[in-house]
Amino acid sequence: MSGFEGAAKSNAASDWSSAFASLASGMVKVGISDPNADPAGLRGWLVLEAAGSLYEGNQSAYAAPLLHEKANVTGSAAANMVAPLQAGQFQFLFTYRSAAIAQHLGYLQLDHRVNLGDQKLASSYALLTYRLASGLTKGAPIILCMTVPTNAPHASEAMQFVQYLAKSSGPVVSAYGLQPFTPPLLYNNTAPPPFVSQMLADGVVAQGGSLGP
Amino acid sequence: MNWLRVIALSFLFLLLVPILVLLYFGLGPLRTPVGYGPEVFRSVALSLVSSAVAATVDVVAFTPLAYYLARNRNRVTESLVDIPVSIPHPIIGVALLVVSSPITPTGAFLISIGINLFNSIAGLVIALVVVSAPIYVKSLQPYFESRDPSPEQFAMGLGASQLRTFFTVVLPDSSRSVISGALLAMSRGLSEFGSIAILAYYVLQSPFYGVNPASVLIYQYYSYFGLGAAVTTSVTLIVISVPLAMAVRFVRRG
Repeated sequence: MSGFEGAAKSNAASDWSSAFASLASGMVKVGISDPNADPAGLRGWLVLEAAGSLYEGNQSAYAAPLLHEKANVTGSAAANMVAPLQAGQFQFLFTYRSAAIAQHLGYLQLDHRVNLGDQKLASSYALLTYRLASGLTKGAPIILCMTVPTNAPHASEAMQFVQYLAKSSGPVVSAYGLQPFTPPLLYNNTAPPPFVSQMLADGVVAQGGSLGP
Repeated sequence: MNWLRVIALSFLFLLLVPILVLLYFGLGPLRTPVGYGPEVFRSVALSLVSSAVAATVDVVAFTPLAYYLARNRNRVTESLVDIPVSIPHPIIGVALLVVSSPITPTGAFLISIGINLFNSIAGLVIALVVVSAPIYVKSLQPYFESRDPSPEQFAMGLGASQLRTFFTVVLPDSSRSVISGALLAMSRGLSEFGSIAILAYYVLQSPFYGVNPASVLIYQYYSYFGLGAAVTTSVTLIVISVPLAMAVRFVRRG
């Protein structure tokens, strides 16, 4: 932990390299949820690959020894692994910063080239790959989206919630370590519902692009 | 018309309706290959092995308790035996998680002697022992109570202790009931979910590295892979566990 704190303070590549090497050495247990079941687990492995690539020039530099040492502990979802983390069954857990803040956990701020949190680095994240049961998956910036399902039982209230978040979500989501787009972006493949079109026309939201892999 | 028989069998049928519906859909319209794939069989193997080991521990450790309670009725002790089955089983999982936590003295001690309960075969077996032992004791106690006590009294009259009498007079001709109780305990272990979902969601030890217990796998499939996978996996487990339940009856009746 102190190695990571030092690295976070200095942001020196050598410090990060040493901290990640310790993490993967088998001296500590690292919680990474099942990547097939939980996107946070997939992101955990991709972050390890990004760190390996950035600090050692080798995507497997940290993931491979971690697996070899069987130092990774897994679970169905990162959220379900907080209690055993607090019980000391493992020492680190890969999860979202927003989840760490919400759960009042101490967390480490990783470099933006590693943490999948910078949309401008989408092309370099895309060089990272992880094989899920469903096939090969590429790295991508982590973007939280919301939608109202077609048959939502309380569609009207859901739309009001979307409007509320679009208009005044900044401080709410920032409090949990998320970085809101300003203005919020609309990703769509079909014509948006009227209330969203109105927000587009009013400049409350901007066009983000089409949905898709 | 035997109305008692009609009522009894009707309600038994109602009890079985969900299982029959599940079998129909799992073998028919909702059949999904992932439900009988290699991951499912590894998972079922883990559950069978861990339940069998837990049942064996039940036999070795708790047969004396069943006999003791049969011959020394004690309401307090009997109530204590009931505790693990009368509380929600996630509590057992949380309790064992805390017991084995490195931040508690018990956990520190267990780790110092090389015992890790979290995501391990040992943890899985211990959780199954905790939830199945009361079932085992409660199934065996009536048998011991129904035994003619004369041979035991005769042995003790010759100077044998109660412990020696138990091992040399009672146990040798109790094998059928002990095996029946063990199979019942194993069935209970096979169906356990609440405690092991917390303590051993996965096992991270050879030869079951990365394998979920079967009940946990069904929940995982239900949560992440949809109804078809969950239903088919459930049917696979039912097909394996029903013969076990029937074996209990055959052994008991001889």
